[in-house]
Formats: sequence, structure tokens, C-alpha cells
Amino acid sequence: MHLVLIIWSMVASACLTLAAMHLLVWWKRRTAWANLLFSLAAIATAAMGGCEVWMMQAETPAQFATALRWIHVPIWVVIVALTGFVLIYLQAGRLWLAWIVITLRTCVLLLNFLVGQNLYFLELTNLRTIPFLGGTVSAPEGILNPILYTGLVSMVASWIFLADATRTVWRRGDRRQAMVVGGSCIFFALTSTIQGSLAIQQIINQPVMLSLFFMGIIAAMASEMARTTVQASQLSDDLSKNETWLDLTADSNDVGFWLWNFKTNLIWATERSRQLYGFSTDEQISFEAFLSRLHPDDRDWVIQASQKSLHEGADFRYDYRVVLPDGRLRWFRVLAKPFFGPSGASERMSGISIDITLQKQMEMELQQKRNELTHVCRVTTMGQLASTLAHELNQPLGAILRNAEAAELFLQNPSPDLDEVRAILADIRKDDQRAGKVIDRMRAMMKQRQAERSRLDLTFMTREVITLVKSDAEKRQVRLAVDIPLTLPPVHGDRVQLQQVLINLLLNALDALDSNHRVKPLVTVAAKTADAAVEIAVSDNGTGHLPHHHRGTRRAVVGGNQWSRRGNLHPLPADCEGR
Amino acid sequence: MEKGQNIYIAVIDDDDSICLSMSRLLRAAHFQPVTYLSAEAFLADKKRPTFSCLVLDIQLPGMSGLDLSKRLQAVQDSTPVIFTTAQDSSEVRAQVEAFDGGAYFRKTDPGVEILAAIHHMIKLKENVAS
Repeated sequence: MHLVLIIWSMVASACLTLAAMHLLVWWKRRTAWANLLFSLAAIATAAMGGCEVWMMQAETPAQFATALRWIHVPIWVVIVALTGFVLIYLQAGRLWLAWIVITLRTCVLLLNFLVGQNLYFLELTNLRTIPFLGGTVSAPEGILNPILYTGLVSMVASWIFLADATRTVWRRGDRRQAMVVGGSCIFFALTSTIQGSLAIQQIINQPVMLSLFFMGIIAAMASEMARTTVQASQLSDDLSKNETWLDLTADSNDVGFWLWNFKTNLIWATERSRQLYGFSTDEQISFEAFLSRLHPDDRDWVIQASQKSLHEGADFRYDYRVVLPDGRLRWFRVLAKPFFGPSGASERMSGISIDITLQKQMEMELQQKRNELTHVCRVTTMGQLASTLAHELNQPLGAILRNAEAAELFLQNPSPDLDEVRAILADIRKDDQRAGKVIDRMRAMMKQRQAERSRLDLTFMTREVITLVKSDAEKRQVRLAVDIPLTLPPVHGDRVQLQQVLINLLLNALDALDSNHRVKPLVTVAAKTADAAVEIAVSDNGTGHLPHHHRGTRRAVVGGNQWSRRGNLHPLPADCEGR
Repeated sequence: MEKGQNIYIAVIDDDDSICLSMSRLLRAAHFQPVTYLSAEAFLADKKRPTFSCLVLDIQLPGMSGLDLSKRLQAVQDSTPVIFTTAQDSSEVRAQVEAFDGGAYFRKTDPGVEILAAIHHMIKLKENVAS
């Protein structure tokens, strides 16, 4: 008797401990239904053991009958839980078979309470005392219930269900699982039924020991779940190893990985990402915190671009600037991809940020060198033009000189011819203007020695120039807006000269944007007819080279026969610097 | 040189302004200038007076100033020549020096010097003639 109590309470406490553990798992993670079902089965097994002890220690037939009646409640729970566990955890078993098992067992439970004293006895008449484990326990005697066999039918249904499920698991290739869970379930269910039936019908001199067999099922289930837990923790180890590995890779390449969760509006970032953007290791990064790191001029367009990316499901590929808390400026190239949930709503965006500051600096230095070179080239060209320039200029200058000398001589006369002097002065003025025009023309001409004048289609010509400059603008991420009407009146002029001027205007406009990357760097080329001329204006929205140079418009005006420039036209970088 | 004396001087230059301003200077110095816009126009003028001096631009469209000068020499015309140029260079200078009997001025040289050269040349020619 003493040993019975010890063994049964050990079984019950083992079951309850396992149940408590898995109940806790389910409590933390409510979708872990397998853990809940396991807990219920384990608790029911403990309850079963309690009923058995109750029977073994029964002093009257009535007590034994009551205990035998109530033991069917934990049996029902175990069978239902086991069926559910197989369905959910093993992902095996036919659903309709499962329903048959549950329905049959529920019927058995109802019959147990409705017919006779319990499922086994119509009436329990007497208690025998049998020797067991060095002591004595009570055993029943009475009139057997005819519905006794319904219990057996329900158990057969359970075996079929379990056997079918085990076969599925086996065929799936998971033989170990099939053996441990399926095999042991079938074995213990079978042996418990046999032992229980034989004990009840007094064929063997043993008390009912269902709980011990069911304990075997619980142990098999527990071992299987423990194995899964071990696997999960290994997976987590592997993942963290992978993350370390990823971090290492990233570190060596100045690459940061990140994931922006829209549900929480938080950004998860690798250690390197955090360093790159100037966040500490345990700081929470919200989207707003990220925005605060961006260069003020880049914020608006980055928001717009990311919204566009989410809206269109397109990749986000941009370069932007980040100002670190200590004031340092970094350039990042960002490649990101939005991810969408089953409903089509955007869920998260993950991407990488690459530090390209060094590359950008080199690019800028190269650009600076190129600018210097261009300047040198232009100056050299001017040198080549010097002799032509001298000839063109000496004509009006010589005429001015002769006129002035003549006027001096005329005025030495006591009665000078003032009309003549007036004519001379008018001519001097005319020649002076002529000299000015020569200078203008020479400056614009640059390379071409001789201007070839022809009828020009400005629309076509402007588009040609834009094609030339487009790649440059694209490289600098400047948008070129073109507003050229399709029908501009034809003009006379030198095509190459005009194109060179326009190229210079455009390059200067692009230069003006370079030093201060705007929200949306934009250069507009617009043409319109004004009086008898066509005006082509090139404007930018930058702040320019110098602090005092505000966003500018540069114009070229092309007249019927003559063309000239007006406004801030500066074909030479030297002029920009001199301003 | 007394007043009223008609000393004719030809100004041959393709630039309108130069012709006009040069002839003004010559008139102010009491010469009688006649202007031609090209060497061809000069040669074509059958009624041209006897010039005491030619103020001849070197760079002329068509026949150049040097070509005209050579042509005049070929027909024993020994009218003194003042060469002018708007494009001064050592090559042009050498060409003129190789050519016998001619003064060389840039268009921006002082008019006083040009006038002095004209007076000098006329005097030389008179001496040779007498």
C-alpha cells in the first residue's frame, strides 16, 4: 500500500510538472496549441492516477463504483487531447476519423454516467482484497454492464486513427517521430485497454493501472517536444551566428543592414548600421529618429521617394547625405525593397546602406580637376584667338584714333567746322560700340575662327544640346526640365556658336547646383519669342558657387540677324569666380 | 606746303570707318584724300588724279596691298606708299621691308607720325624729280 502511494504520486507529480511547463509555454505564446493539448493530457493522466488510488483504497463498493465512474472524465480528456495533438503537432491523421474518435468517446462518457453505476458495472456488489506490491488493494466484484464493449469500440477507433496518422508520418520520411510518438501511443493505448479490461473483469488479479500506461504516452510526447525545443534553440544559435557573420561581412564593406517595420514604425539595424547612422547599440530607432539624421535638404525627397517605392512596390535606390550627431557629413548609397503582406498592404522595408563618402569625395575632386582643365582649355583657346581678336579690334580702334586726331586738327582752326566735329564724335561712338561687339563675339566664339551663319531651327538645336548634357545632369542627379515650344520662328546664326553658348549655360547651371544639393536639383531650359528675337533661358534652383550668387537665370537671345547675350551669361568659369 | 595746293592722297582700305576717319585726318592736314574700298576699285578708277602718296591697307579682300604696290611698280609708277595694317606681326613687317620703298604703320599708330611720313615722302619725291 505504501509503495502504491509512492509510485502513483511520482507519476502524478511528473505529469503535473510537465503540464505546468507546457502550460507556461502556451501562456507566453497563445498559438502553441500543441503545448496546451499536451498539458491537458498530462493533467488528465495525473487525475486518472488519483482516481485509481481512490479505487485501490476504496472501503465500500459504492466508493469504488464512484471512482470508476469519474475516471472516465480524465480518460475522455486524454483521448481528445491526444487526438488533437496528433492533428496539430504531427500534422497527420484524418480529420473525419478524429471526429469519429471524439464522438465515440463522448458517447462512452455519457453512457458511463447514464447506464448502471459506471461503464463497467451495472451494480458493484462486493469488494475483494488482492495482494499488490507487498500490500493489499481493493478489487471490484459485481454485475458487468452490457455497454462495456462500447468502450472497446471507441478504443479501436482511436487505434485506427493513430495507426493511420503514424503511417502518414512514416511515409513523410519522419520515421523517428513515427516510431516514438505514433508507435508508443498505439502501444500504450492498446496495453492500457487490455490491462484495464482484464483487471475489471477479474481475469487477472491486478488493480486498474491506466495512468501508468498513459504516463508512457505522456513521456513519448514530452521527449518529442523537448527534441523540438532543442532544435529551436540550435536554430536560434545558428541564426545569431549568422548574424555575427553578416555583421562581420558588413563591417569589412562599410555596409549596414536594416529592416523598417511599419507596424511598430521601428527600424531594426545591424551594429554596423547603427554606427554608420550614429545610433547607440540599445537605442530605439523610429522612422522619425532616422529622418533627424538626414541632411535637411534630403529629408523631403527621401520621404517622397520611400512613399513612392511603397506605393509602386519598386526598389528604393538613392544616394543621400547623413549628418552625424558630431556634425560630420556622410554619403550613403541605399538599396531597399518593400515587402507586402497577404492583403497587399506594405509590411516592412528592408535594405542596405553603403557608406560612399570616400567615393563621393573622389568624384568631387575629379570634378574639380575637370573644371580646372576645362578652364585651362578655354584660356588656351582664347590665346589662339588673340591674333584674330587683334585684327578685328584694331580696325575700330584705328578709326577712333584717326577721327580723334582729325578733330584735334580741325579744332586748331580759328573757325572750326563744328558740324564736322559732331560727325566725327558720332563716328567715334559708333566705332566704340563696334569694338565692344567684337569683344562679345570673340568671347562667345571660343573655338570657331569663322562664324557660319545659316537659318536655324532652334527647337531642334536646343534638343541636340540637351542630349549632350543629359548624361552629365543624370550623373549629378539633376532633373532637366525642357520647355521648348515645337514651333519657334527660324533664326539666323551660327549653329556651333549657339550650341557652345547653350552648353556653357547648362554646364554653369549644373555647376551652380553641385555645391549645394537641393531638395530636387532642377535646371530648366525654356524658350519663347520676344519681339523679333527668341529668348532661351537656362535657370537653376541652386545657390551657386559663391555665397552671394543666388539662384540664377542665364539667357541667350537670338535675333533675326544678330545674336547677343544678356543676363548672367558667363561662358568662362573665370567670370564666375571673379564675381 | 602752301594752302590751296592740291596734293592728292589715295586711301585704300576695305573698312568704311578707316577710310572715312583717315580721309578726315588728311583733310585736316590740308591734303585732298580720295578713298577706295579695294585695290580693284583703285585700278578701275580711270579718272583718278595723280596721287602724291598712297595710304594702303595690306590685308585687302581680293588683291592685297602688296600685290597692288608690286603691280604699280611694274608699270613704272613710283608713287610713294604708306602701308597700314590692323594685324601687326613679324611676317607682315618682313614682307613690307623686303619691298623697296614704303613706310609701315599699324592702324593704331599716332596719326602725327603717318602725316610726317607722308610729308617726308612727298619731299623726297620732289627732290628726286627736280
